[in-house]
Amino acid sequence: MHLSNKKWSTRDIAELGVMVAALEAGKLALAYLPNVEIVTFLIIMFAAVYGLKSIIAVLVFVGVECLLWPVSLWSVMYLYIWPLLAVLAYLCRKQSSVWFWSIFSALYGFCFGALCAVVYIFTTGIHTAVTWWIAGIPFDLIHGVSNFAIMLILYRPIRKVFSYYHAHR
Amino acid sequence: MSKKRNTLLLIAAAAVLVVAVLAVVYVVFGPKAQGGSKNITVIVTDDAGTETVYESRTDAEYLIDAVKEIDGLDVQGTEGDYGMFINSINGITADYNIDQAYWAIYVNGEYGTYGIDTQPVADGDEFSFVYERSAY
Repeated sequence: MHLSNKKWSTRDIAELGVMVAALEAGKLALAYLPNVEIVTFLIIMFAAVYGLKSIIAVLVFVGVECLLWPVSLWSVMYLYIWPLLAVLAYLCRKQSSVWFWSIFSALYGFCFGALCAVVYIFTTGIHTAVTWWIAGIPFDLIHGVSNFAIMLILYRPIRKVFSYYHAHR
Repeated sequence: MSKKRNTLLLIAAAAVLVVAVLAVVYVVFGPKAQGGSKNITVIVTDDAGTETVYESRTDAEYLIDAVKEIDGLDVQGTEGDYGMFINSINGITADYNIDQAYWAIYVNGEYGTYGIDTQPVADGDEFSFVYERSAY
């Protein structure tokens, strides 16, 4: 599947559906754990393997989230936070070190609150945005550490499966 | 030294730097409990928009302990992963799952960024508990 292709095959659409389903299922499966999520890991893997088209899956995922949950400021945050992650991961797609991707995931978790706070600058002002970000710093630290651990554990086996699948398409 | 190794060192350094910045910002600008006696005002605005004002003198460092000391003010909540969540105030329950209602906390007129159990209390503070419904 390539973005430049004019036609999408049935397989392309099915793969898109699987990516969205995996993101949604992964998010719901770990929703009970505060600041632990697998969405970052999945988006990075999809971006590294499927490239920019993973952004389409990410946008569909955000759309599904908006259907499942009451739309609010988080919806706006999701609209740029997850696609931005896909773009950054795509730019680093040549990296193959588990340590690189683990630290990359951790960094995104550490910066998550600051990225979310951008919305508050435009809605309630810079003061609220900064205090909101500071209040969430302990959660950002937990988020970063958990992202690091998830990538460290899952990167090699999942990458292997993805590569095998991609090579046998 | 290979380019990949340089990249790895660079991103590791960036992570260390970000953690250091987060830690310093939180220590310097994060919530700080204040000891000693403090005068505070607590205003409760219920689901009908009726305001009840409470004046209190307290030694409590956090809002949860300060409101417990106030006669005639009954705040009930449940402990969650992100701190205490207010369920009801003076018997009026806000249930987000039913009608998107919740008890909002305002600190000196601004929307609170901390939960009731992590909100520090300072002398002269005015706290408002407002029954609100999400517009979404």
